[in-house]
Amino acid sequence: MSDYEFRPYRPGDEHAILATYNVVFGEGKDDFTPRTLEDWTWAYGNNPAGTRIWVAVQGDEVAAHYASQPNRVRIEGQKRIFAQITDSMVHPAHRQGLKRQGLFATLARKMLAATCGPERDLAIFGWPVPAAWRMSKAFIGSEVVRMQTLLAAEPGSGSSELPDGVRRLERFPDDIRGLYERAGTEHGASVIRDAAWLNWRLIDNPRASYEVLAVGDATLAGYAVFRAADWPVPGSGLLVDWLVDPAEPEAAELLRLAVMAAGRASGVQRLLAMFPEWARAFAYFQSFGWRVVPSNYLTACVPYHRRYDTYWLRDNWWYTFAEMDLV
Amino acid sequence: MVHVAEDASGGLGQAQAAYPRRMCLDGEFQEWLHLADGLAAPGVRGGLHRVEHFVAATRSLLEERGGFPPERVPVAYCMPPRAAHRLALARLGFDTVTNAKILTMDPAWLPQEPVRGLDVTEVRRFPAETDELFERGRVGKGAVDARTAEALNWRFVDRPGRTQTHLFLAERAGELVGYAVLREQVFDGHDFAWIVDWWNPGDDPEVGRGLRASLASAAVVAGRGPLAILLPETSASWLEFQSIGFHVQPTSFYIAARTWHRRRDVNWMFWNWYFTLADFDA
Repeated sequence: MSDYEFRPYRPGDEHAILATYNVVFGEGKDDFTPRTLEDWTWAYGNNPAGTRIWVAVQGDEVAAHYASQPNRVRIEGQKRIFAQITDSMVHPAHRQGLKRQGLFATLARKMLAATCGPERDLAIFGWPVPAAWRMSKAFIGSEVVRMQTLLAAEPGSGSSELPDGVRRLERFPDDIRGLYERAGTEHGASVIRDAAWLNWRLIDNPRASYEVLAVGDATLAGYAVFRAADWPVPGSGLLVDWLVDPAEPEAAELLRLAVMAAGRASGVQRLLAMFPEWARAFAYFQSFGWRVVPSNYLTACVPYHRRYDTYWLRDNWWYTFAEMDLV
Repeated sequence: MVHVAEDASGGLGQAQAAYPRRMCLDGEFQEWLHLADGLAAPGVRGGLHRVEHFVAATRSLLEERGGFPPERVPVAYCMPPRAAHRLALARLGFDTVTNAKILTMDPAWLPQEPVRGLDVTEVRRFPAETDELFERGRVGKGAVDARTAEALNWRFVDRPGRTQTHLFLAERAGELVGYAVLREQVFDGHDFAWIVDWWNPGDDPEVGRGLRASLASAAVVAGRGPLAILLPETSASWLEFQSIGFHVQPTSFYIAARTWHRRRDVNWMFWNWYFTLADFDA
């Protein structure tokens, strides 16, 4: 292990990181599209909550990479960070043998020790498939928050036009934070939906296009974000994000109808949404016939604060697909 | 099966009990262990002492019984309270199978009319024909506790001091085609009318409708509601209950297991194990 340098990211590392990324994730895939510098810059360089990247370097090569995407969270009134682990990798040339397994674990532990704790990032999270979770459990003590269910519905027949009162947003306005303040009162913890985060995550994202549907004029009563995708199964229409003032039930109704219309316009076969089971929206969509179905994913975390443990997160942390880097 | 941890004076510190469960897996029978009733004996000090006794008693049980069949059991499972769940994960090799979720519905919203051609009757004991019903229903279920008349009568009928329990059998042309068990009890803080067991081979919608009509009627008469059931989200019944209006809500419980079989791990259990409240001691 002594021939590796373990350290945080330094400006200029992105080129070697990308080279390793494209080797690791392109292995054996004919249809692989290499990640670009633009994509990397969006994902890591432009994240409004900052950067968490550690590398194990040998010479000019990034032998291993461990990173997270931090998210600014409001948790019981405090502003803190929850970070999603992303793009964990070991270069194939540095992978074989127990010693190399130690390379990855050593890097992960160094990064987490430097960035996580009761006074630093409060929790790391992710939605691994079971095989990936087993590694995560072994290396960093990851715990299961829940087996993640999805809400599913067919778009059905009807209009593909947005209902009156619903408009498309090109960008999230600065005062979107006001909606989050009104709608987020029921969340013990949630990623702060402000213009900086929403525009970075959904508007400036080079990986996908999202349709932002909103109700309200000067003051927004709610918004819904839709995207057609071939994930988790082909022909899916994803309700990527949903934030509605609980005092505005008509806005919820209009946005639900708008999402159905967007699904029909996109020709998707099914609509899918993701919420914790205690969320108001989880009950709301069921009351309109959306069914709760299992998924291949589990919500996992490593909590770093005694109070905010896995049980607390299960019962209080609100999220949607927008938190998930796969969507 | 009970394992105990003794304190320094030789007194009983902690007892960990386990019920052997006769499971049917893809047509083969094997035994699993259902861990239940982890009881701290009176007089044992709390805190660390209690934790260590709990761990020692449970570990002793797992070391003696856990392993590869047929001599040993490949799965030990439980739906433990929070403190025991934490210890099970951290120190006893357990993993989470799923977070337990329930389906609920106001019984007044359910049709209570009988289904034509189906006789649903309330009985005092499960008849011998229940064994044949289980044989028909287990096909297609990856792992399921053997719901024989003997097991069900032990579980629901012969238990001393049991709470109000209703056994409903569904018959079509004289043949037993399904059953349901309703119990008025508190689970997870909810004083609901609990469908504590549900067996509808092939998820026959008519059988489901007939059984639910009787369950709803009994719940309404008892002044209980809503009707509620614990099911795995991967079962066909999970979707069937939603299709007639039941809604999903969370509980405070996780279901956890330790497995010794590499292929049939907790992820396999998540996708293949059929359970209801009858499979637990809650």
